[in-house]
Amino acid sequence: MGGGVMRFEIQTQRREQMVEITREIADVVAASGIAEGRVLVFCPHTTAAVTLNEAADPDVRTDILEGLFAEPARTRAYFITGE
Amino acid sequence: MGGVMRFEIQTQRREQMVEITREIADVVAASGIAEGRVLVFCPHTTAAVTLNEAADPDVRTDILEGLSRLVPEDGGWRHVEGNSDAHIKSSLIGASIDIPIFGGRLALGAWQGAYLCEFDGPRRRTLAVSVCRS
Repeated sequence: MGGGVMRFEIQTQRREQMVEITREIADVVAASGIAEGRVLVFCPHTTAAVTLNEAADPDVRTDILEGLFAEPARTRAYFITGE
Repeated sequence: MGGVMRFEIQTQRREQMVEITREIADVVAASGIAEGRVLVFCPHTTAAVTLNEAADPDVRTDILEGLSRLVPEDGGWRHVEGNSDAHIKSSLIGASIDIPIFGGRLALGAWQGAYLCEFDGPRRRTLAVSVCRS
């Protein structure tokens, strides 16, 4: 196996922001020399997260931030399970 | 080891949960790995993979309905393709699942099944499955 754990830092600029980290991850993979396997990207923070989504149109990131947080709060679309 | 296998799913509607448990189990069986885990990865930004109830199909209908209440299709989004609801749902549900393998079989709960969640279909989707010893 091998590979170990690498860390990198990101300075965010705003309260809510999606920062692309694809290159940083690819660099770690390249440096590992591992050709077949998997890479875990772990975010050790409780007010941030990691995800995969569209990297082409930046409006998608704006919509995701708006949709994840502003829209549910506005519509109060919360659920109570009835099973 | 085990490597990566791919399989394709043709979805039929804009929003749909397609069960993929058998396809994953087949890849695990072919790998010969008895103890480990299987990663199911969805390389799409308007679809996702998840585990949920495989018994009552109403659960899948309710999941899709619940997500649409949280993230309406017509939400005044910016993205010109008009499918931002699908992108948001994709990140909400996630692009991958890990399932443990015990005794050469998927260690799913009695009611669990694995699903491809289509949020912007119908499309032809490709899923990657990677089996490894843990």
